[in-house]
Amino acid sequence: MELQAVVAREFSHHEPGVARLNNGSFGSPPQCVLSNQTMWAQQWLQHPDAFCWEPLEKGFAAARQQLADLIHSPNVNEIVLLENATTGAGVVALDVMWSFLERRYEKGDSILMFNSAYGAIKKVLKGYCFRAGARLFEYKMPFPVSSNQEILQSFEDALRREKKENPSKVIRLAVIDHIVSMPSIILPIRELVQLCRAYGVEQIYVDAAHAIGNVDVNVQEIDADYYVSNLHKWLFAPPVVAFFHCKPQHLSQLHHPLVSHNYGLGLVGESYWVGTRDYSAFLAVPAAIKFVNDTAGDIKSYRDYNHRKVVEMAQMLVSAWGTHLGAPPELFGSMAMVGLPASLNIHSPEDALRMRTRLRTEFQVEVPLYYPAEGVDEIFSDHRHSTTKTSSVAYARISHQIYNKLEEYYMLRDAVQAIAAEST
Amino acid sequence: TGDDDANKGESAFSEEGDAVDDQGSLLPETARDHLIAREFSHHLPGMARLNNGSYGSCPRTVLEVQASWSQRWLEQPDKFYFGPLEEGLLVARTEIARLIHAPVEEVVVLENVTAAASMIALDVMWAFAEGRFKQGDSILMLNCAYGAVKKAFKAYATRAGANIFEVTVPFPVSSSEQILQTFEETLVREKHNNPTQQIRLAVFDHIVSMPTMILPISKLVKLCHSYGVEQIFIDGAHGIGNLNLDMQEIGADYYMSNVHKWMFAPSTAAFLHCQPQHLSRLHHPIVSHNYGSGLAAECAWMGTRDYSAVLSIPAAIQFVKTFAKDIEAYSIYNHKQVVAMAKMLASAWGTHLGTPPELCAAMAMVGLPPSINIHSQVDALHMRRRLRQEFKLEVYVYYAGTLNLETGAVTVCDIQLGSQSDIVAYVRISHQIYNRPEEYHALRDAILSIAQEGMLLH
Repeated sequence: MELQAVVAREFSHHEPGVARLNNGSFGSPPQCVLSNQTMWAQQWLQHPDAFCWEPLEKGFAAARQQLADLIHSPNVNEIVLLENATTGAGVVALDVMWSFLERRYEKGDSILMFNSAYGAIKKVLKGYCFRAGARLFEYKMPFPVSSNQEILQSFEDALRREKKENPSKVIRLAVIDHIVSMPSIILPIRELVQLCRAYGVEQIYVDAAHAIGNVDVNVQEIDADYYVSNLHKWLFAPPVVAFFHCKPQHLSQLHHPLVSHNYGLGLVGESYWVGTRDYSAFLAVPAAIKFVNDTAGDIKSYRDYNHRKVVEMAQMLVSAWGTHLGAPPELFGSMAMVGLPASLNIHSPEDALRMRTRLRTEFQVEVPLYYPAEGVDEIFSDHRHSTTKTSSVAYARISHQIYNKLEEYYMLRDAVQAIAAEST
Repeated sequence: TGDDDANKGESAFSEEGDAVDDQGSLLPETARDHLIAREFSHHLPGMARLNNGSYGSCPRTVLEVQASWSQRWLEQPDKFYFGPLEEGLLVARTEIARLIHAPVEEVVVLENVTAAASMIALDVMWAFAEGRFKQGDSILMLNCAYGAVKKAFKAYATRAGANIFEVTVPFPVSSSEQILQTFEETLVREKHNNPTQQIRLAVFDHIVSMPTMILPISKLVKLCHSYGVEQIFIDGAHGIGNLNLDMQEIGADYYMSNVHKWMFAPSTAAFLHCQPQHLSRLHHPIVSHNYGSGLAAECAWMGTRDYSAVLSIPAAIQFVKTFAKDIEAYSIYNHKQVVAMAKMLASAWGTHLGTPPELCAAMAMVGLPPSINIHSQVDALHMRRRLRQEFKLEVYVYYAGTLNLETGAVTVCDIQLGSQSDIVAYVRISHQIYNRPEEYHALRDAILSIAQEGMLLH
C-alpha cells in the first residue's frame, strides 16, 4: 500500500524493533520535513547576518499565514510562533503576574485549573501567578468518564459551588486543556468556555498542546482568549514549534518571557527574535502542513484515519486484557486510555513509571502509563510521592500515528499479558 | 601576560603589531588551510565574513556531532529523555566548569545569554516585588550595554521599581585606567545624589559588544564592592574563547557567556556561572516540570526542545585542539591577527583604532575616513548593507556619535585625539580562524573607493 512506502521512507530514523506507541509526547517529523528544516539551517549557517533579516521574517510570516488559515483565525496578526506550548503558558502567566504586582488584580483573586492540567503548566502558574498572590480554584475532572455531559455537569456544579462559597473572589483566568494530556480525553471546549463566561470568568487560556492534527481547531468558535498548540506533536513539524493564538485586545500587553531587541514592539515582534537561536523548526512549518496534505489529502482525513485506528487498537487491547476504556471512543482523538489489568500491581505514579521503564527495556514497547496523583499537592510540592495505596485503575495511553503498525500493538498486548501472568 | 596586576585577568594581550604565528602552538599554515576549507565549507562562497562576533560559526566536525545528538532524539525520544539527555548536559556543564575554574554545581548551560539576562532580571524583579529591595534602589548599567540586556532590565527591573543609572563608557578610549576612572566618578556621583538608595546590582560587559573593548572586570568588581554594590552580573557574551576565564579571580555573582560565538558550539549554546548562594533563588524564565528542583535541573528541561546544540559543547571545546595547542594559543592567534589587520586598515584609511590593542580581544574598532559620510545609525546600517550587497563584505558598521536630543548637536567623545572628532563612524572587524588577510584587503579597498566617491562629491 502506498502509505507503507511513505512511512518506510519518511520515518526511517525510528529505532527499529521498538513499538513506538507514544507519538503524543514528542511527535515525530518525517524525513522530507527534516530535509526542509536542514535547508533553512543551511541558509543560516551560510550567512547568518543576511538571513536574520528578511528571509527569517518572510519565513515566519508564511508559517503564520498558513496556520491562520488552518485554525480559522480571522487575522494572521493574532498568531504568534513560539518554541513550545510551555512558553505560551509563560507568556500569559507573566501577564497575570504583572496584574497582581501592579494591583490590577487583588491578592486572592482566583485562577481556575483542572487537577488534570499538564504538570509543567501547573508549575508555570506556581512560578508566576501563585507566587504573586493568586489563589488556586481547582476543579477535579472525573475519570474514567462516560460522556461529555458528565464533564459539563460536574464543571458547572463546581462553578456554581465556587460562586456560592466564595462570591467575592474574582476568577481572573481559567486554564483548560482542549485535549487533556494525561489521562487523555478530548474536552467539550466550546461549551466549557461558554460556561466559564456565564459564571464570570474573565479570561480563558486553552492549553491545546495536542490539538492541531488531532481534533478540528476553530479558534473563532472556541472563543477562548488564548489558544496554544504544539506543531511538533501531531502536525509533523520538527522539534520544536508551537503557535499561540490570542484575541487582538490582549496582544499589546503580552510579552515573551525572554526579553530581547524587539521588546515593546508587541508579542508578534518580540517572538520574531528571542536572541540568537536556531529558528529552522519554525520555518519548516509550511513543509509540515504540505506533508499532511500530500499524504492524506487534507488534515481532516489524516485526523480521522488516526482516530479510527487508535480506537480499533484500543478495543483490541481491552478485549485481550479484559479491561475497559477510560472514556467512550468519541472522547478520544489519536490517543486512547486503555485500562491495564489489575494483576500488573500498579498502585502509584511511581509504580506506573517503573512499569513503563520495564516495558521499554525488556519488551521494546514505548508507551506512557497513567495512575492518578493527588492534584492540589503538585502545585505546592515538587516531589510529592503518593503514600496511600488506592485501588484506582492504571491505564496505558496509546497513540496512533501514520507510522504505527498492527504488530506494535500486539507487542504491547503480549508484553502486558506476560507481566500479568507473573503474578499468578 | 605577566604578573603585572594591570594585566592579570583583564587582558591576556600586550600591544602587538605583527601577525607572526607562535611556532608550535598552532597547526602549520598549509594544514590549517586544509582544515578551514573542510570545516567551514558551509560559508557562503565569495562573502568576506568579518563579523564572527555577532553569530559565531560552527565547524563541520561539531555540526556532525550535533547531528548525531539530534539523531538519537529522533530515533527514540522517550528513551533519550529518561537519562541520556541529563547525562549529556552534565558532561557539557563539567567541561565548561573545568575551563572557567569553577565547581560544576555553579555552572548551568542554557540556550543563549538573552535567556540568562532575563533570568537575572526576573530575580531582581521578585526582590522588588517581594520587598527585599525597596522602591528606587539602584542598578548600575553601561550606556553601551547590549540592547537586549538593557531591555531585559527595563522589562523586569525598572517595571518593578528599580532605578537604573548609567556609566558612560568613553569611546574612543585610551586605557583601562580611563575606564576605571569614569566608573568611579559615576559611583561617587550616584552615592552623592542618592545616598539612601542601595546599589543592588551592577551589570557590565567583560568584552563590550559595541563599541568593542575589554573592560578591566576584576578591578571593576573590587571597585563596585568598595562602593557598596551588592551583586555583580557580568555579560561575558564574547568571553569564552577570547579571554582566560577564572570565576574565582573575577569574583562576580553571575557571569554569562555564549559558547557559539567564539567557542565553536552550534547555534546556540551558552553558560551561566552563579555563586552558590544564589542558585536556589534563580529560575529559568521558561518554567517547566523541573521548576523548584534547582537551577541546573530547570535549565535541563524547558519543555520539549532541541538540546543538540548545548549537548555539543564538549565537542566544540575539543575542536580547538585540532588546530591549536590549547584555547589560549587559539585566542592569542585571533587577537594578534585582528590587531594586525586593524592597524593595516587604520593606516590605509588615515584613521585610528577606537581603543588601544590591549583592549581588543578578537575584535577591533577601526575608524572610518570622514568622507565615508556616515552621520547616523541609519547611515551606518545602509553602509553595512551596501558593503554586503555590492562588495560582498560582512562587517558591522558603527556610528559613534551621540545625538543630544535637546540641542540637536552630535558629539563624539574623543579624548585620544583631543578636539578632533571628525571620525564618527567605525567598523568592528572580527578575526576568526577562517579569516584571511585578503578579506581585510578587500574591506580596505572597498572603503577607499567609497571614500573617494565621498570626496568627489564635496
